[in-house]
Amino acid sequence: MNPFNQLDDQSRRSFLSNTARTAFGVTLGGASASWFSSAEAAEAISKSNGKAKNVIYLYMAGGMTHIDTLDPKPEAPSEYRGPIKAISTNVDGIQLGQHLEKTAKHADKMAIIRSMTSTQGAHSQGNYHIHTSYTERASITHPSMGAWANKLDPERLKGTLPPYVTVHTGNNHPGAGFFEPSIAPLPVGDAEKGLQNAKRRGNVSEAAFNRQIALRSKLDEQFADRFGKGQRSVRAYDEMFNSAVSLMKSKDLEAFDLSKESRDSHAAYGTDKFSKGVLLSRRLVEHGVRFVEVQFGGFDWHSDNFTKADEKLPILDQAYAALLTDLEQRGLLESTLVVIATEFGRTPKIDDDAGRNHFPKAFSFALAGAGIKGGTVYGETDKTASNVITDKTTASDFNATIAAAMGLSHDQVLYSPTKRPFKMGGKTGKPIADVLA
Amino acid sequence: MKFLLPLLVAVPTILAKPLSPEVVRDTAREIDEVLLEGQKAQGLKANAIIDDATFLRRSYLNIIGRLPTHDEARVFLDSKKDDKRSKLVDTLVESPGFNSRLFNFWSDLLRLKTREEHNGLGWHVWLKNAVEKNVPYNKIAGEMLAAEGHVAENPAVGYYLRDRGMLLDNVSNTVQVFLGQQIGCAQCHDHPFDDTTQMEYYQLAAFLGGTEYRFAGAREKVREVVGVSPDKRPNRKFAKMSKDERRKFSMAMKAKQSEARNIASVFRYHQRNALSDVPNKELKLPVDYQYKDGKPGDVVKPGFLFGLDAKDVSPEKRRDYFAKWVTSPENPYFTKVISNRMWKYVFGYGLVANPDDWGNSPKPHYPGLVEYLEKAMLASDYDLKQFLRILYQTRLFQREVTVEEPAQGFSFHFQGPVLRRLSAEEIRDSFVTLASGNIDSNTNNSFEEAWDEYVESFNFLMSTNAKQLKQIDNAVDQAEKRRREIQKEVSLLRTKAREAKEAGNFAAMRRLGVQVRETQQKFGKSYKKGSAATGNPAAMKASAAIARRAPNVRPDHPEYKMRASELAVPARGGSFIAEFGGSDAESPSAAHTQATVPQTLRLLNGLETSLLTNKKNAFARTLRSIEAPSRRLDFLYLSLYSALPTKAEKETFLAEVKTPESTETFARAILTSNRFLFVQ
Repeated sequence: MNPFNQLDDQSRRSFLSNTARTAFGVTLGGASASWFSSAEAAEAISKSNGKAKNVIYLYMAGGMTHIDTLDPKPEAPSEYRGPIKAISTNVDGIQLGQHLEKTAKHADKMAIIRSMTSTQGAHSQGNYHIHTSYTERASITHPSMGAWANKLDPERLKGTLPPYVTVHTGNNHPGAGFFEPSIAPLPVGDAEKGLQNAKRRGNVSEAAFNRQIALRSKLDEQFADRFGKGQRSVRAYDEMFNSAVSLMKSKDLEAFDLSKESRDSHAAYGTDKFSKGVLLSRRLVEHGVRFVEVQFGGFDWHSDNFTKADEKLPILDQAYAALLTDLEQRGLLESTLVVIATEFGRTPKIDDDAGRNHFPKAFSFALAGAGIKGGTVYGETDKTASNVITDKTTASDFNATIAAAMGLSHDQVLYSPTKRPFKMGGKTGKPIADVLA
Repeated sequence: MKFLLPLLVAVPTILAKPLSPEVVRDTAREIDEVLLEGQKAQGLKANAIIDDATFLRRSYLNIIGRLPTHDEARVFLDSKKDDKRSKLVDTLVESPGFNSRLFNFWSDLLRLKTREEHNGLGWHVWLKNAVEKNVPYNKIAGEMLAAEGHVAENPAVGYYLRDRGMLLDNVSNTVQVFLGQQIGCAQCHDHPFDDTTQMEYYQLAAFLGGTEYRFAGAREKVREVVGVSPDKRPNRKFAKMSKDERRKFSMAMKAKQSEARNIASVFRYHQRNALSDVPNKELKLPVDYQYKDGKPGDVVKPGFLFGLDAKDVSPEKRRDYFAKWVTSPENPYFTKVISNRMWKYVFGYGLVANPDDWGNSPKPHYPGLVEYLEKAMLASDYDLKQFLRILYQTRLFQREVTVEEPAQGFSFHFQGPVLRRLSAEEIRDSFVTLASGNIDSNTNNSFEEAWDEYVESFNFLMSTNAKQLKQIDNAVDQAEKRRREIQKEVSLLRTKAREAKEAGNFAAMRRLGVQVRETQQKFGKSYKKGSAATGNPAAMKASAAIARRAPNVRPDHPEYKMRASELAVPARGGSFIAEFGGSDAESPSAAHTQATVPQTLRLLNGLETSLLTNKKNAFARTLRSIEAPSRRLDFLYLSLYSALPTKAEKETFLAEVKTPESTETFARAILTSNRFLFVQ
């Protein structure tokens, strides 16, 4: 498609701005800023140089409390703070909730965004909004970030592995949204079980399997002759068939096999299902999978917030810290962006059930790794973490930041089948320059 | 484009059901004639008529959603009767499998969620019944659109509760599903591509402006019991009282209100399962309304899109008017849209290219046919079974599929039907039938039983007196307290178990695991559901009504011996149906048939295909019992391709069925072939 055939105002402007920049000796950031990058996108991309080739997106499902984790308020009254103490980290001036003691040693890699805010206070709507930058509409499904990344830049895909994998996500994951289903993530239901059905059945020998493949072609000869040319769906099935068989035969398949990891690795990450998911995500990224999401369920602490914090937060802490250490040791941290996200925060004022309720007004996310300025805190909430007082950040802004870190244009417009325009960074999202590096 | 034959004007307004074979055949013939004339005018030729084997496979899949069994195939192919094709269609249309496939269509279109609160279950049961009883389409739509109240009293309200808290989106869905228009954008601004303005959108939604997602019956019940509603304000006498009297009155009121709130908690889950239409509640323009024809916060008066005028509508009647307008035979789209959907259901593609977006579909090649179908739908009184029967009896249904697929979004000439992949349910149901034979009559009554139990309990709850209600409330409070205590205990035990696991102390870990289970059982099987504690008779009778989730009833048959239509929807992530594109119930008609790698892996190596070679089931058993290789080949071909092998195929593949092992390999190859996955 010739970009110059579509010179609407937007393209013309960006074309001019790009030309102007190169003409005046200002180079475009990274190899990935395209002709379609707006000035805004190009600038954001140039900050990070599109370092993030891979993303590991850790999603805490249920709405993770912010005041107990990433935005502690040790000075707040006890009816807000509860029994959880704040601890120092390896960055002066940044504190975290006491359960994140391993994470505290990695604060120098992290950018903590404490000014997240949204209007979506229900699980389904909040989950959707965070994943897509848009509000849940019963009449359309928007794509998630992994799908966007692979749609905007389909070239950078290595090997026979799928470019987008989700681990332990539920039915309501937006996936590819209105993009073609081939962009949909490959879902792994259980990290310890790995990729299902990827191996021949026990009672099928390799010879029999190969014979089966050959027979299939023969059986389909007439069908292929007749329909191969005129039917995209038939060709797609043949393509998928070949991809699946290659995947079965490829060495990359072991990317899904956690049993190949050392005992030490397993111990470092932890024993919980989530821990295994995080370990799997490192493995997948190592093998070239571009975007991996791992979900950790059960954060909806309407009651007994602190008992549950004791149970769950150490799991997150250990896995997250192990991931950052691991990525760093393997030289992957400089090309991998690690995200911690959730649908909303939880009410700072503790309720009668020793719990916290849904709180979209203010909550916290974290970014670490490629393209991120470590040891940063962006945005601030008030004394009780109840209101954002500086640098309000929406899900759109956050996702725009992910885009910029990946060298993608957060504001490139793509159309749904119903001809509505959408962008990776949502309607109005802007990348947060202060956390990009 | 002119028709040489006059359209069938002689069709009376409503016809007796089932339609006589003559009327069916005449109408079908008319459809064929219109098509042929249109194609001739364009210089196009209709495709040839398919052979028996192709017709057999296509009929079973398109009418009842599964492959024919080996025996069913034999019977049809061996028959020498002249009218066997027509008779096959009639037989299949009247068989239970027909309802099965049609129900899948409905649940996909309406985004049915069986497990979503009680209202999902009730709606599911209601809809299934409607399909089985062949309730006319306009009646199904009308009842849903006019519905209000509690789902136990009116399960059709599940249609609105599906989008609880998202009224505007619900309106958008209604207009898409029943009127084939996309107005979704207009929620926030004037629609960029169509004519709907934001004001018009709001005017339409204003018919439902009285919507409140709460259970009015709860309030009334509480008031009946306590004598005051939870949010009552002081009455007029208050102003005339002395200071002392006021204080006493206030305290008494506060006590009553506290009691009322307490008892109201019994109904806490009912708020999610009911809808009230409040006459004096009106829809207002949003705070960011930007156009000149109104100010943010302005009340919006109801108004219709395209067509009928909204005369003065009394507030109580808004919902009814809305339902009537959408489902009116005079609505320019209501009848056409369903006719087009049914056309696509049979032939794989709509006469109007995008069934959900008539505003942006190109002009159909045969607009006269679109109008004719509308007349036929009206004449059958929205009887979908009869309408479909007419389509199945056309010559078009017997033509070869086109070699070229329709260009997505473009109008299609229908020289033949469209090649398509089997739907997820059709693949699954075909496997099930291969393994267990014809199980079309294995219905799942458990949903209806669970629902009946719930409704009975609900009716009891609503008939309780003050004393009983208080007992129930106490029981609920106690149960809730116990539930939280137990959750806390379990949480602590789990933490300990994890620590033990990390320390490598697996014995301790297992011990703790057992303790967790025992603790959970302390509360009874409904630990997570928070149902009422046992002991009190009123509480026990009401327990189904106040539980968090509907009662769990075991179906009569295992899942693998039932059609997909008998299962809860949507299919769970990772299940066969989900992997093959079954609807996730998030948007209308979300089911797709796109290829993915996990699908292929599943067919190649999954449990389902191995079942076919598992000696325990019908298919494998029969296969193994056959001694002559040529008969074995016939059996495989008939069972999976619904055709006998040609001479050439026999020559090529006879060698593959000489031994049991090679036969198994061959059968697997067939299952992964496109010829198997697609229906011609």
